[in-house]
This record gives sequence, structure tokens and C-alpha cells, in this order.
Amino acid sequence: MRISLRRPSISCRPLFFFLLPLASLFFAIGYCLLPALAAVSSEEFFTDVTDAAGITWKQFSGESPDRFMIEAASGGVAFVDYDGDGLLDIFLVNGGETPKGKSPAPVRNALYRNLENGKFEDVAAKAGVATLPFYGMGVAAGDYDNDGHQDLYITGTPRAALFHNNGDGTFTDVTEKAGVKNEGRWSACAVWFDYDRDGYLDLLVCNYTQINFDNPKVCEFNGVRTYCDQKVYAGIPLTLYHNNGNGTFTDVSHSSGVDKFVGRALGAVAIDVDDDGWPDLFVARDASPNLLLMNQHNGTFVDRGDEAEISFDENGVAKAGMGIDAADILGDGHPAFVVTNFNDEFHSLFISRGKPPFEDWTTRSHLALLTKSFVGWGTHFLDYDNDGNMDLAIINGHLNQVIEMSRGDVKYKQPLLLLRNNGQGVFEDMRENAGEAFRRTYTGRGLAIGDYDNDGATDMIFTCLNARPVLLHNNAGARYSWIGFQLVGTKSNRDAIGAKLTLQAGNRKLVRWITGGSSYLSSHDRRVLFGLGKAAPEPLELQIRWPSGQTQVVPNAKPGTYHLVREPGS
Amino acid sequence: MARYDMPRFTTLRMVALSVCLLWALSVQARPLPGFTLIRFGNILPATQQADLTTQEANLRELLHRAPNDDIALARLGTVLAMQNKFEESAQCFEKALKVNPGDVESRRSLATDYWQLGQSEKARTHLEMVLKAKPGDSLATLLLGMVSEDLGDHQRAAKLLGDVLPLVRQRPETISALARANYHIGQIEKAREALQMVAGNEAVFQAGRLAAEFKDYDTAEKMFLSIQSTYPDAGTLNYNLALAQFSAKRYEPCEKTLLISISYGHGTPEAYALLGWAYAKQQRADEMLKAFEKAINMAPSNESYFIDLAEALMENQKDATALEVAKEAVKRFPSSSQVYRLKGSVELKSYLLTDALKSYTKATELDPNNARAALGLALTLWNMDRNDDAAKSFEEGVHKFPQDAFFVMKYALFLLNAPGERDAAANARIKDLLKKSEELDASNSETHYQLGNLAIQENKYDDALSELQIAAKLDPDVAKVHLLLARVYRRTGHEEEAVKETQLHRKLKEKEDQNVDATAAIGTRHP
Repeated sequence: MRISLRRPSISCRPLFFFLLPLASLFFAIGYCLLPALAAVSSEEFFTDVTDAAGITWKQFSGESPDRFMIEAASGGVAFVDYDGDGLLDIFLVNGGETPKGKSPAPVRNALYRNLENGKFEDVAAKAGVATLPFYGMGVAAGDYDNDGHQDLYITGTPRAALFHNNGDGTFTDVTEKAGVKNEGRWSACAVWFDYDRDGYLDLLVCNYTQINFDNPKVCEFNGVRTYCDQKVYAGIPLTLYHNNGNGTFTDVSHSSGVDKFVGRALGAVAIDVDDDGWPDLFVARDASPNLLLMNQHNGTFVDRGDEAEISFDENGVAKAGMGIDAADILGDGHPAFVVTNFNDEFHSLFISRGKPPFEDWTTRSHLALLTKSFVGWGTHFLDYDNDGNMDLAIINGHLNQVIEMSRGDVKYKQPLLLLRNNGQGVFEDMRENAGEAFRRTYTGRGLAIGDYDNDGATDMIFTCLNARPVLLHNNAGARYSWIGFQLVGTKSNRDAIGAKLTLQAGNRKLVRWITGGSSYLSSHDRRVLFGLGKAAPEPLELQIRWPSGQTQVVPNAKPGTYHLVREPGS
Repeated sequence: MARYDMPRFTTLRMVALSVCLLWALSVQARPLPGFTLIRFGNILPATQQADLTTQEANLRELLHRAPNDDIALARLGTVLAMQNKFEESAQCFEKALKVNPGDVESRRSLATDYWQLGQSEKARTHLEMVLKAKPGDSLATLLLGMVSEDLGDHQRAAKLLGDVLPLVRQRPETISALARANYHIGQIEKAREALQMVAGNEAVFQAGRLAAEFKDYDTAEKMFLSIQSTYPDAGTLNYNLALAQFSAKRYEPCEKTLLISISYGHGTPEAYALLGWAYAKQQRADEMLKAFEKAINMAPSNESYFIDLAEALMENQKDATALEVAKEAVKRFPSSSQVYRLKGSVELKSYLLTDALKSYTKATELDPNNARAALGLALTLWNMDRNDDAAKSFEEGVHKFPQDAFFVMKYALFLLNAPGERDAAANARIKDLLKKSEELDASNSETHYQLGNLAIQENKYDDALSELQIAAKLDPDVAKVHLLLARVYRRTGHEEEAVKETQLHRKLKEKEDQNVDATAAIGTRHP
């Protein structure tokens, strides 16, 4: 059969030529919108928006044939509103060079300013925080001088640095003046918290070991040079700096008693464990016993790790504690603690009931089953779906590049975990529906959470060795109702670190804390987001216990927005 | 390494014979013509043998005419027993008892025959009948004590033998039996008291070996030292003394004993190997190598010295050298299952898991009854995350080697380490395995530790304390035992004890951490 092609009739031609430009216009509009549309898919819980956000920065570890441990350990990240415009920006700490691990370009940190349209711009150089005279590890953001601007403490080796936020988009290195150099040490996490409740943020620095670039340790795995076991590195004490309130700090490591605690500290969280109104510290240490430093209210701390039964596991093993976070996961008003560990150790979950011992829920919560093959780093509790229950995110990644030569289940690159809490402290792996980013694997390290677009859903960012970070936009949280609070201390430290928030939402009581530290080398959004489930119950009443000890009630708070709450008095 | 091994059965039988003979003397009513006391262990003099042969002939003739003469039957039984013809002797006594069931002496003799024949259950039955008829019968009590010990009824053996101390005292073998029974039931002091009764070089030497067998190394050492200058075989004595000192972790004295012995010309391969181990425990690697080298050169066809050397090297974190030794051993002993097992263990420790799998597989092929090779295979599969295969290996292993306490314990550990929540059945299975391991070998502190751990999880603090205290006694230098003891004390409100245990735990943990392998790669910790 012959097919004839009919030429358009003359009568159609005007219409055709009229429609063509319109079609082109629609096509052009659609083409421009496509990235934005693709960027936020409503079907997956989280969408990888790294490209769309314009984040091109890459971590440099200085990986070298010498295999210095620090090459495998860096990667701090902070969600921090450095310019006070109400939008969370992102600060990324870079690693550094090693004797045989040189970078083709200068090793720079990144400060990504949030441009509000889902895009970010690197202004680190302009801000004066692009370079460090040392190998960088982590970052702790905090307003140490209560001037309303977030400052940055950056850890590393062989020293650390404090950058004061000038309030005009720039920072000044005030390390020497402040007296917080932490000289000669390899520091990991740093925790801003007000241990003496004088209204100024003090600073705990977790130290790992002393590293000597002239004397690399030689360890092999199946004949291949790799990183040495942690125990090969001798631990060193913690450092505690007291904020004198005048821009300077005093090293009170000895008088506070924290210099007794010699070990390989990597992560810490400051939270009131025993609900006495004074912040305590849970310190996660790597193959050294974890510490539960209870504040004695007199400037000293006592370790109750043995009584709490969190220092060693039941086989007497001091696990490889890297990251840590705390939150109320049972809805009973007490904090639970997650500590990320090595493969075969399982990431730990401890439930506190207010007095020791803590209960080890590692197996009961299914965390053991879900994390057996993973080496965990950054971790955060977050209510990703706003159902009111605190869920859990953990970024993983091995150190030993040749681990797969011997192990079947343990891989070098490992996934990001999103674990949903059923409200009874039992977790379920949600990776299948969480998004494409959860089906990839990474050499993950730091992790921070924050609502960077203020839509009431907690977003995430995590770092990877020698790779770009991954910024994930939360789509799931928008389905349920929520309410957020930003606290501003007056008698208390301005960041309100140490505050306890109790929200009465109908017949449900939700407890959250503004903690210091947490995760791994990273710093998070200090606003508190409460997920309220499908329909926001009424009324909503918030009770705040400020770090100063003062209590405040915020009645009839409206859901669906962030509320700024200032501490009464001055 | 040399282990203590007591030859028991033969000597006990000889004791039975002498007891029988003692009885024979005591029976005044029925004197045996030409019978005299035979000294223990000696062959009958020819004249006496001739007497017995004549008596046997005479008695057989008598019985031919009067087959149901129970007295003649009993006498014939005795004469036959004195000639070690125990089966026939037993038949005679059985017949005699059919005629006269109330004849306690014949029944006692029959029991002795059965015991000589290794039929301890029958012996026990008859002895119990004797004691029922004649409760104060000291010979029967002594014999029943020996039989009970033989049958593993140590509690009863200790009681019975303890009731007839004057008789027990007469023979080193009965003293041994009493000591052994008391060691078995944990009555260490009573065991030691029993051993104090022995006299004479050989008896004291054997007593020392028995003490060492039951890990009472202090007593063993004392006994050996007491005869050090008089015992005729100085080399053997000093070796056993050194072994006791080594087992008591007194490595310097062990080294001294061996060096002295060697200087006196008793440098056997065994002695050099033990010296190598003493150096290994003191982390004196060069001397260790020289000592083992000496042992190997003196006995190149003895694979155990290669195995010892490699294991000592591994203990000193010299895994690469241990692997070289293992490879050399495989070359020299290509059909040796133990050597392949050794190679597998070095490879497993070095995380060369594929190689370890091959080595252990070869070891089990060469000897399917090599329990350690089978265990190594299961452990390697576990390390490789082949958990289903590992589970199968463990399960097959505990069926094949049901008496292997270590294997059973390791299987329990494998199940304990599984990350998922355990149901009641799984928990019961683990407990059963641990209890079984404990029954088989109560001297493994890890088994008691894990049972204590489980008891803590069930909030059974009395049980936990009991198990952990045993673990601490067995191995006082293991840090984690004191960690859990502290937890139990704290949870039960015993703060002072908790503090003590915590301090001890921290001190021991620090010491353990100092022994870390400085070349260990990250991620190579074994589950």
C-alpha cells in the first residue's frame, strides 16, 4: 500500500505559523523550569540538590602512601546563619596536605551563602575563612560573645582556630587573643556550651592523638599499606576553655578535671542528662571508653560512664565511638544517645531513664541489625517526616580502602542511613523510599541538619572524603504540620544552648533540647522544629527551661511557622 | 605443648589385685595352702607360681567330684585371681554365690575381678551389696571408692576413700584416687592433704604430676622441688617442674629451671621448646627463636616444634615470621593436618581470609577428626561474613565433636554475636551450649563469663555473680570479668565492691591495651 504524505493545506498554514512560536515559548519556559522541577520531586523523601544548589566544593584529604590517620578522618560541616538574614548558610572545613599528599590547587574551606532560591554562593574568601594554616577537621558554630552573630571554631592539627564574626559578612581570626589555640594537638570535635551558667558559651575540645608527619606508622592489610588500627595511636586529654566574657578564654582543663580523661575523643554532645538544669557531656571516644561527664555545678566534672554502663560494651570492648547525638526517642522526656561505631560493633543506642545505668537498646532498637556492616560517622536525630517521633540519620564509610579483599559484607563506600522511629524506639530502614541519594554509597564523614529553606522540613548535608558534599532537601516533612522555635537568650547565652523545650501538643508532650556539639565534627541548625503529625493539635503550649534556670511559657503558639522567643529579663 | 597425662587404669588394677591379696590374708577361716603375701607390682616368684598351679589343679579335682562346693569354688576363684585369670576367677565366684548368696567375702572378691576386667558397673553393684550386708567393711569401702572414682562419681569416691584413710595411706595409687576425687569436686585443700600422704620419690613425682593435671601448680611445684635432689631421673623431674612453673605463669623460674637442667646435660627437644615458650611469654624474641631452633634441629621430624614456634611468634605479634614458619612447616610436613591447621590460624590472624579458608579446608581433608581445623574453618567463614556457611560449619562441628568444650563455646559466641534480636528459643540454645561447655570443661573462664553476662541481661544477679566469680578465680587478669562484676555489684547496691572491681578493671584494661599489635591495620578486629 502506498502511503501518501499530504502537504498541509494552505488554510492550515497561518494557524501553524501562529502556534509554532507559542510552542517554542512553552518549550523554553519548561526547559528553564526543568532543573527546579526535577530538583524537588514529591515522591522521594529527600532529593539531592547539590548540583542545583551550585555546591561545587570538594574535600581534600591529603591522601598519601604514608597513610596518616588524619587523611581518613576529616570532614566537618555546619549549617549556620552567618549573616543573620534568617537563612541557613553552609560552612565546609577542608582537610589539608600531608608530606606526600599535595594538592594541585590551594586547599580551601567553603562558606556557601544561602541565596534563598535554593542556590548558594561560595563567599569564603570574601569572608576571610577560606584558608587555614593547619590541617582542618571540624567546625563548631556559636555566638561566644553574645553579639548576635555566629562565630566559628575550627579544629584540626597541630592547632585550632577561632574566627570572630564581625557582623558584616567577614570574620577575624582571634585565636591568639582568645587563647584557644589548643596547640600541639590533633583536635576533632568542639562543643559550645555554658557549663557554669554564667551566660557565656564555654568550649570543650575533643582531642584525638598527637600526630607526627615525620614518623608515619606502617600497617598493612593483605600486603597493602593502609591505615593503622586506632589503638596504635596514644590518646590525649580533653581541653576545656572557660569563657571569661570579654573575648578571652581560660584553659580550665586541669581545674575542671577534664585533663584526667586521656583517650581518643572524636565526638561529644552537651545536654542535661540528669535534668538538674546543668549541662553535662557525653563524649564518644575511639577505642577508648566513652565518658559521661556529669557537671558538679562547681566548675568540675566527674565521669559516671561506668555507672551508666556506656563506657564499654558487654564484652568489655571500648567501641570506636565517632559521632554522637541525643534526643528523646521514646517520648518519655529523657534523652537517648546514639553513638556511631565500627563495623561489627554496631552503632550504639543508650536510653537514659534519668539515673544510671542507661539501658543498652542497640539490639532491641534494631540498630545492631541495621548497622552491623557499617563504619558510622556523622549522625543526627531528626523528625524527618514531622510525625512527632525522632528518627535517625547516619552517614557511613570505611577507612580501609582494601577491606573488600577479605570481607563480604563490609565495603569501603557505604550508604547514608535514614531510620524511622516507630515511636517506641524501634527503627526501620527507609532507604528504599528515601531517595536516590540513599541508594548510592559514600566515604561519608560529617553530617549536619537544618531547615535551609524554612519550609518546616529538616534538610541534611554530609561530607565525603575527596569528594563533594551532598545536600539533601527534605520533601517528606512538608506533608505533616509542624512548628518551630528560635530561642534568643538574654540572661542565658544568646544561642540558648542548654535550653529544654517541652511542647504540649494536645494530649502529647514532646521534649527537645538545644544541645551543644553532636554528630561528627559538625554543627547544626539551632532552631527547634517540632513535627505535629497530620493535623496540628490544639492548643500548642511551649514550656522553656532556659540555661539560666528561668522558665517561660509560650501559650497558643501557631503551627506552620518559626517563632522567635526571647528570654524574659535582661 | 606437653600436657600432663596420668596412667591410671593399669595401676588401679594392680591395686585391686593387692587388695584382693590382702583380703586373702585376712581370711583365717579359709587358709590357702602355700599362699604368701605378694609384693605390689612384682611378678610371683616361680615357687609361689608353682604352688598356685598345684593348688589350682587340686581344687579343680575337688570340684569335679563336688561341683557345688562353694568353699572350694571360692578358693579356686582366689587362686585364679592371683594368677591374673580374672574371667575364670569371676565365674568361680559367681557359682559360689549361687550356692551361698550370703558369702560377703566371695562377693567382694567377685567385685574385685569385675573391676580388674574393666566392668566397673558390675563391680559397684556387688560392692554395694557387700556394704549393705556388712556396712563397716573397710576393704569394700576402699574398693568402692576406687570404682566410684573410675566411674566419675567423684563426690562418692571422695567420701568413701576419706572414710578409710588408714587403708588409703598404704598405697600411692589409692592416695592418688582420693586426691583426684577431691580435685574433681573442688576440694582443693583436701586433695592437697591427701597428696601429703605419699612418700618415696616416684610416688611424690606422680603426685606432683597429678596436682599439675588439676592445675594446682603450686602444689605440683612444691612436690617436685621436694625430691629435686633425690629423684633419679633429674631431666624428667626438672622438665615437669619447669612445666608446672610455666603453667603457673612463673616464666622466670621456669627459664632458670630449664637452663640449669640443660647445663646438666638434659637438653632435650622438649626442654628447649618449653624454654622457647618461657622466652615468648617474657617477650624475648631472639632467645625464643634460638631455643625453638634448637628443638627443631634436634628433632626435625617432629612437627610440633614448628607449630609451637609459629604460635609463639603470633603471641609476640610477629605474624609475618609466623607465616614463614608455617609455610616452611607445610613444605616439610605436607600430609600433616596440624601443620595446615597452624597455617590457617596464622592466616586468619593476619586477615588473609581466603588463604586461611584454603588451609583449614586442607587440614580437615587430611584429617576430618581435627577439631581445631574444623573450628578454624567455621571462624574463617564467620570473619568472611559467610554467616550461613559459618553456622552450618559450627552446627556440624558440635555434632561431630560433642565433647569439645572449646568448640561448643565458640559456637555459642557466634550465636551471641548475631546482631538481630533473639527469641526465647535462641537464648535457650545459647545457654544450653554454654552450660554444656561448662560441664565438659569447667576451667574455661570465658564460658563462665558469658553465662554471667546472660544472667545479668536476665537480671539474675545471684547467678551472674556466681559465674563471674568463678571466671575471675580461673583467670584473674582478664579485665572484662571485673567490668561485669562491678556492674553486678553496683546494680545490687554493693558500692564498695563495685568500686574495687572498677579500679581493677581499669588497671587490667590498661595493661591489655599496651599489648596492641603496632602494625595492625584498621578494620582487622575479629568478631
